[in-house]
Amino acid sequence: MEKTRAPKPTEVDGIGEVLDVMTLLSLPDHLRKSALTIVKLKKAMAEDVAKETGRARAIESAYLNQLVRMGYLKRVREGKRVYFWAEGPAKAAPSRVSGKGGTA
Amino acid sequence: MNPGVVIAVHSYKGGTGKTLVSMNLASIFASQGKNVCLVDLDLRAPSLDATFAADGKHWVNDFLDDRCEPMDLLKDFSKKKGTKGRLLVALANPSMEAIREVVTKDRKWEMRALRRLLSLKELLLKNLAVDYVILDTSPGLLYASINAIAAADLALVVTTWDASDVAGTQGMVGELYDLLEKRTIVLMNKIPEQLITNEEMRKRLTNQFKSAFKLPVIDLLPCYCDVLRQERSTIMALEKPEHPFSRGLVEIAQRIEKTGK
Repeated sequence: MEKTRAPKPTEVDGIGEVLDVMTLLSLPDHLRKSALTIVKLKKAMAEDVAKETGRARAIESAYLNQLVRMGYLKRVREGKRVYFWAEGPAKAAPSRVSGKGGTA
Repeated sequence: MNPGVVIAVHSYKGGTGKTLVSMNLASIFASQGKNVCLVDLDLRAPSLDATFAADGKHWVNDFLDDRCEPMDLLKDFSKKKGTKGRLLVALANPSMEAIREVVTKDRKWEMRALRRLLSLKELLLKNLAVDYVILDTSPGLLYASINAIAAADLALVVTTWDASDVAGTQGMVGELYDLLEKRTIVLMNKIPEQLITNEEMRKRLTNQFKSAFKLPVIDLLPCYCDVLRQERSTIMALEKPEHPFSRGLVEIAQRIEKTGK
């Protein structure tokens, strides 16, 4: 009989520091821009953030990952796509952008 | 797509005339046929309830705390105030208990409050086709005010001639509005009338403030003692549209409209 494999739980990175407006104001300029864009888009990929900020996707990806390491953003991989958001479970934060593929 | 604009009316110090400017601007836009929503975000010292008395059970505080839906919050005053466009008002709870509750909120709550505010913005602009959302805020660097500025498209800073007010506003330009990448305009209020008796003096003073703030100064409004003597329930722009204060604000509304989103 064929075994059915349970779906692999989606791993969420990020330690859940609070990204409130006072924290936003204290961030260095380059990170604040990325963080502000995530607050606006709710949940987005580096590519979506790059479109808003006008910076290269790779640069944006580095900044977003830095914000994850600092604990201000959370990150989840869904297939090939990597999404970032500021608070709450990934599923609860619907994306306002319809990205087509791409990774962080 | 609805090109609605969210305007946060803010100041460094209290008593600069934010609430008076907010409710009159909202009334002017609504009387011109625009759909407007006026939101009291001065949660520590709510004052719009004195003008827009409503018997509703839901306040902005409840909405930010996830205790009610936005539609429970919005009261339509267009019929009462006789405006062509919709004049929706969301009031803050003026009870001492509610104010005490607001001051004890933590960073996490404030972060969620910003989320709620952004969702309210989306609902008003996209679903309810509101043209102008006017957020009346607390003065200075308080969480609720900064949240309002973060959610807004335009910051309208109301400042007086007072030196500490001007210096504080200059500080906020560099440390708040610029950092949040907000388009900002300054409205100088309560200017002594003798300083702007003719157009040349007005121009010279406007240019001085423009270079002090490094921002567009939208207008200089003189200090009208009779405006300050009016009861809180009076909306000058609707009840005394010929008064220079009302006419000044109509011009300001036109300039805001021209600057767009």
